[in-house]
Amino acid sequence: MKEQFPILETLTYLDTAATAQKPLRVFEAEHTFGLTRYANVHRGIYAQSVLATEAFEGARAVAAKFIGSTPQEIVFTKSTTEAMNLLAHTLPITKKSRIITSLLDHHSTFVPFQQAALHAGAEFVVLPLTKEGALDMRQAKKEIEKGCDVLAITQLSNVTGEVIDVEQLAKWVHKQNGRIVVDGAQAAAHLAIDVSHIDAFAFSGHKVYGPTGIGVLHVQKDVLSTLSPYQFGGEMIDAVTIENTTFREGPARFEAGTPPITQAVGLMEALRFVAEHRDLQEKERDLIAYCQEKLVRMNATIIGPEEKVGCVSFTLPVHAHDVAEFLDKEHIAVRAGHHCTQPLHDALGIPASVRISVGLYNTKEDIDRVIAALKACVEAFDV
Amino acid sequence: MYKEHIMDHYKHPRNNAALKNPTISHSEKNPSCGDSITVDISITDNVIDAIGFTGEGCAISMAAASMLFEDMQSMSVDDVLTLTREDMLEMIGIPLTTMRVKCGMLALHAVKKALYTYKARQGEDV
Ligand SMILES: Cc1ncc(COP(=O)(O)O)c(C=O)c1O
Repeated sequence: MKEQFPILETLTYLDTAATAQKPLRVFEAEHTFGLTRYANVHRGIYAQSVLATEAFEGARAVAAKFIGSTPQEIVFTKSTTEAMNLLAHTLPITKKSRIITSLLDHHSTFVPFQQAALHAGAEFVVLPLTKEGALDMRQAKKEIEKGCDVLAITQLSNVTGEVIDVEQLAKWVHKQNGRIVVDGAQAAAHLAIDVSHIDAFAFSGHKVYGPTGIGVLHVQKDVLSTLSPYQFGGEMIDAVTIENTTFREGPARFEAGTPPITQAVGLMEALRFVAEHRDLQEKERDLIAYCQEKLVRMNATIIGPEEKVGCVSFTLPVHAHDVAEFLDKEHIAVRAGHHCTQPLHDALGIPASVRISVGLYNTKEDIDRVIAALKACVEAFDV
Repeated sequence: MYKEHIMDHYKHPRNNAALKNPTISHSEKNPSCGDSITVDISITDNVIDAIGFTGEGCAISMAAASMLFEDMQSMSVDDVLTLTREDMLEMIGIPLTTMRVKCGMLALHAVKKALYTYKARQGEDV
């Protein structure tokens, strides 16, 4: 595995939740495409443009299959963030709406829906956590049953590593005739995804070993057909006259302008890479469990419930920034801060935490190395 | 990891206490990392005669506050207001990455805001 990631020869990379390192095969796929098949898509009559279009649409099909969707329901966006903004702008939200999110949510979900609710004068509800820092499912059910037009929630927390039962939430939301929007930015990298019962699901290419600048948004087709365009421009139009414009149907309506073509090809290769290494996702969990156990033994305070996927966040008597800087001197990359979840950190009453997150390329040695460095750090600060 | 002087100021911060009757008090927060500081300044005839800070943060932000406050003793309000980012970086004395520069500047930022508020109150042009 590590030979696909030359960068890991000198770096102990434990920040995959922020962005995953890309395997050589992703660079090679983009390189070959760029040198031999590149052209704009959906426009040219010439053969090269047809080849590029085929590759681009092939990526859409692979992305759809990856999450159990269909190509007619896949919109390419710039990122999860852009997908959430698209949804917050286009889903019907009025003064009468009840919009629900949770304390676990990343700012990229939390803020667009908070702002949409503020603009419309809608009710904005933030689901709380249990004492253990897990999503409080009993409260969630209660709040959803009071009425729910949109529930926007993460499937896998980028801080606590908790997996959220979105299937169950979807049932409750649909009983209220609401829509469930799932932030799959972390989930897509660590779990097998099935969006059959999910109205909208978004993830970013760069967190699944692919390029930045491309994201995938699944919108269930009956929902998609009711949404108005989000951005206007080329590609998304049907007919333009001086007086007015009509728009295309399906995903094309939401893809204004030249899309991220080369990135789509890189993403396709990245998704194949993940699909071929499903077995290693089990190992990722073991690594996090192993890491958590070692952290507990050195008296770190762990955030959230014990069952974790992908990451573990914690505090030590040393400030998170100082920990991260100490580890950096040992060529170990971890994240320190609030990880784009300020409401969560406020609720926990901590200013910042340290997060260790793993990818398919990490090993037990990486965990041993970071634990040894953390011990040295606590010693150096003499706390 | 950090140089001796940083660790010394971090572990034994100078002026690390709230003042009883400060002339001016001001709080600042760095939302990106949660560091927070409250500065209390007592001023007589435009000269700083007592200062104290309380707060929570990383070694850089707390050591920077301690060093700044040590230097500020008996400086005039106007002299403190001429302190620049470069002066502060020199005081800290180790290279900081962009993210950490914010930590290093938190105390100076809070002090300057407090002093501008003080001067505005005095009815002076600022
Ligand atoms: C859970 C979660 N949601 C959303 C995002 C936002 O992803 P992006 O910055 O690629 O839009 C991230 C990553 O930063 C994340 O961890």
